Amino acid sequence: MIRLRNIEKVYEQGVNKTYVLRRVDLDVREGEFVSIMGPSGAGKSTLLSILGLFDSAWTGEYHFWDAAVHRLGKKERAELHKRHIGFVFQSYHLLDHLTVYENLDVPLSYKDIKKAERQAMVADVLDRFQIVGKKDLYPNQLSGGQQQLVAVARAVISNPKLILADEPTGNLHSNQGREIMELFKRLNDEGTTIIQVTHSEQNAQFGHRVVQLADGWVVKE
Amino acid sequence: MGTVLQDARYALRVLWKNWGFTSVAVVALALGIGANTTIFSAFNALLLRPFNFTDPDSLVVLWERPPNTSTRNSVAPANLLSVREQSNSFSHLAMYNSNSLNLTEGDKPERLEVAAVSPTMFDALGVNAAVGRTFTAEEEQEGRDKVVILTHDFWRRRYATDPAIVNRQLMLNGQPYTVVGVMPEDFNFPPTSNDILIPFTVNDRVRGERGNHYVRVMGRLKPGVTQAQADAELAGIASRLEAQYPETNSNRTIATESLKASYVRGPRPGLLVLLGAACFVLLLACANVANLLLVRAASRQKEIAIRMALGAGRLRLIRQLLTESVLIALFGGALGLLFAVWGIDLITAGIPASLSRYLPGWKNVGIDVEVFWFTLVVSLLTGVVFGLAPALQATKTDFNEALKEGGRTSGGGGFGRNRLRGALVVAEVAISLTLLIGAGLMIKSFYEMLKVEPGFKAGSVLVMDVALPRAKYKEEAARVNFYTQAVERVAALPGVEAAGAVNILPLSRSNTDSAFSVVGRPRPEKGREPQANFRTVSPHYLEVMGIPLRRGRHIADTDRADSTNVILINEELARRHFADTDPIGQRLNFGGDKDSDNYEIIGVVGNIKHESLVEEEIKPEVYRPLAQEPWYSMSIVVRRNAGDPAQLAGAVQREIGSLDKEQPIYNVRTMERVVSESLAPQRVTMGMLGIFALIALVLASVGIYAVMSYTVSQRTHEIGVRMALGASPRDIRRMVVRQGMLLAFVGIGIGLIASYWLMQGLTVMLYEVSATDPLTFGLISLLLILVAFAANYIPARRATRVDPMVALRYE
Ligand SMILES: Nc1ncnc2c1ncn2[C@@H]1O[C@H](COP(=O)(O)OP(=O)(O)OP(=O)(O)O)[C@@H](O)[C@H]1O
Ligand SMILES: [Mg+2]
Repeated sequence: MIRLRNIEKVYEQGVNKTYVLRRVDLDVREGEFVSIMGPSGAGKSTLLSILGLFDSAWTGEYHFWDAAVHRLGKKERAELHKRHIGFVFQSYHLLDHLTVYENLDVPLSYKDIKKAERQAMVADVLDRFQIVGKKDLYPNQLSGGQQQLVAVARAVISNPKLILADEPTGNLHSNQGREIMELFKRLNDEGTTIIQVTHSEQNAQFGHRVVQLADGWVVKE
Repeated sequence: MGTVLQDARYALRVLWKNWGFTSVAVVALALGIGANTTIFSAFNALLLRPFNFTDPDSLVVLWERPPNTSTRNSVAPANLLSVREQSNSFSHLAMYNSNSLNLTEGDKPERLEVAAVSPTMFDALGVNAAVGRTFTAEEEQEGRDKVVILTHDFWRRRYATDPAIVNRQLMLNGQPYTVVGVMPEDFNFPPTSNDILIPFTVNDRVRGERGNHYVRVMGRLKPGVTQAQADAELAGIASRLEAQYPETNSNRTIATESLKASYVRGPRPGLLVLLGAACFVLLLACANVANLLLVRAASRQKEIAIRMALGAGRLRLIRQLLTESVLIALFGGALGLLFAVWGIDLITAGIPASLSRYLPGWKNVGIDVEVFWFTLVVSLLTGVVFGLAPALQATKTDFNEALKEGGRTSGGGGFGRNRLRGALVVAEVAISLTLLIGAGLMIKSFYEMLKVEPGFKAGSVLVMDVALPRAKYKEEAARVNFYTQAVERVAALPGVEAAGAVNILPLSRSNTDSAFSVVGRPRPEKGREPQANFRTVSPHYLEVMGIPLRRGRHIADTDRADSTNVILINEELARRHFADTDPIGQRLNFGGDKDSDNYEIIGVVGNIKHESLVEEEIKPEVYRPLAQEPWYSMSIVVRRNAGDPAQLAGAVQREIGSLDKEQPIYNVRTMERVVSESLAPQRVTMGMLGIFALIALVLASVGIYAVMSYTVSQRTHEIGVRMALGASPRDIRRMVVRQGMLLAFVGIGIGLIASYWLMQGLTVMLYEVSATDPLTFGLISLLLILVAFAANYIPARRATRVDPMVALRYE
């Protein structure tokens, strides 16, 4: 499903070049559950946003199914992302002036889905995450953990083929964290491919394999 | 004081650092303040203080009129003399009227504008001569009345302010007059830009004249006497006169009007509309700058929070912020004063001398001390008005929140947080819509005026005035001879198609009418006779002017002094009095019992607009042959066969001048200019309103643009998130535009309602256009929608360029 070859990412600051990713090769098959680990600043989030097609300033080859991402324009990448990927941001990025319900509806509103169907999908997700009671609250009325829950809910709402999650349990109780992981496991069992960034060995256990990053290098698969 | 200076110094530094913002704000305010200064300078000079006489409130003018009407007629001199004898209400009563005299001195004759005034007028007004003296009471008597006072302008123009002019003799209409004095520079009464003043002579003819109402009267009420008391007394006198002189005084009363009110009637409605419009422009500018300040205050939240954390009181901070806004306003005021110089030039250039000479105070339209103070006060007030709300808002922030800054919050995105900003944009749109609609209505109305058929053809016609002196041309035959020859000679010039003469030109702002009756029908009651505009014309006048003959025949060379007295009537007179009989051959009487006092109707001619192109009621009008009723003053009209008639001017003047070397020929102008100048007040009002509306449109679109740009910059994070969640550029564009257009639509809605109500005030100025004209309302709304869309679209486009990678960069 995913084939990365020789991916390099550089930040140029004046004369200094900082390599964030170096010659990264990575293959992920459909239905896999991969965990990316590594120390802070290793380039995990950077890799994830390249996989998520947000970032286009890199070199190398990226094949997403039969699409050669490195040859696609901005518009096609956005289209590809919209069609297949759900993303959980490391810092949630909920919209402050929208309620939980409305936040969940945002990704659906940009797809060609009828209103009634959208309502059903939001209701279903609220139910699955047990946050029905919170649907009319604003993000700043939620705890950090609840916000993260909503962020995860928003990523899975449109049933993406691939879920990219950047420390989805960072702010959660271990209990809640486990629930998210179990949800991911269930989704994965149903066929969804999942790539997550995590610091926790426990969480990594839910996946099939671990990719270790250090200073931009893949050090262990 | 020290802290004020310190505030000011700090404020200057802040403004200098943000020079981009500062200059936009200063220019916006300058436009608003400049508009107000411009209109105020005209308003102050023309409406508030047209005259600078002492105790102006007790100065009045007197009118004669039929009872229970608002008609205002001039006064018959004998009636005024009766009032003078019988009334106790006035300390002074003076007669005055305007005419012209020919000054012969050296080799170039000059026609002078003359006011004939009762000597008591100077005391009534409380003015004295600048050089020499004013008239003495005896100088209104025949024989002692050959004295003259020069106005300051004429003194300077003709005699280079030579003080030795006093006691010199001037030859006026061939008679010697002694100069007794020169008036001060600011003297402007009667307000007809006179060259000289002479006494209004009271002789036996004047003492017996009750039938001709040709003098204007001004006076001063005695201390303690009200206008109502004076009116009551005048009514009593009028009814005694009615009993005594039923022939002339039936159905006439006399009443006062405040002197000022009688002279400001003309420019009043237009100036009020413009003043209102100027206030709107300033309000709009305030809203605009307030909005910019709000935007800036948001970016200064951290500075303010730190200052508060360091112990600055809220009042102190508000004062600091207000100092900034007042400084901006003062800069705006200074620049506005400059704009006003230009605006005043526009107004003064737009009003022709033929009109402005009737506007007292016209010479004082300009930037003087009062206008300067006005501008200063308005600027200070403005600074507080637009500065207060942003200052209050900025200092209200919870500094804990602001210090934290950044974080995961997505900035003030929705309406909730930006309610004040949104409200200001709505107000801006509403105000500019109102101004645009006002201007739109005026433009449409002006267009309607231009389409008016005046009943004559002005194109290719040149006109000029001649005033023969009474002494030299006492004989009717001499006048007939002069004008007949003048017209014949001019007509023979190459390039001239036809020439004619008339006593009073259409649209010339003067008129003469006369009561008449139809011979053979019962005479109407005295004072209730129908009136007709009275014209004396040469045989080809109607042809030159293109006024069509509908029935019968034209006046011909064969209509001479010794042949049957004949007359032409216009269609309106025929319609009113000969609806079911043929008027040709009928006779009209204009007073007198002899058979020759009855004039035989020989033809019916088309109606023309006389008072103005937009007059509502066409009056009955009659034309008499020049040969049978020669006036001293006539206008010569010349039609050129092709090309610009103005090029004939020199040749025509030479040809007429050769008839009498001492005879000035003046006021040479094309008839097209006469027509165009008759619309000057409407043109100036429309032009000013148009300029104001344009400024409003620009300010409003800048306002929308600034707020939407700011909103977009505030929403960068949100936009990034939405794009990451699948929003296409089109989705983003639509979201931003929708938010901006919502504000615009609310503003347009409010503006439409406000306009529907406010435009009623424009009704008196509109011609053939309803104050709620749906087409204008619709088109202007559409225009504003398009402009608002453009102002929204640019920030919306910018919003789509947000890079989610950058917007979502983790903290
Ligand atoms: N805009 C930027 N300019 C320069 N360097 C950057 C920029 N963004 C990220 N980096 C650098 O890239 C490297 C990788 O960052 P990344 O966010 O991918 O780390 P991470 O592995 O996700 O760390 P963490 O576990 O703390 O989230 C870091 O050293 C960071 O300093
Ligand atoms: Mg990271």
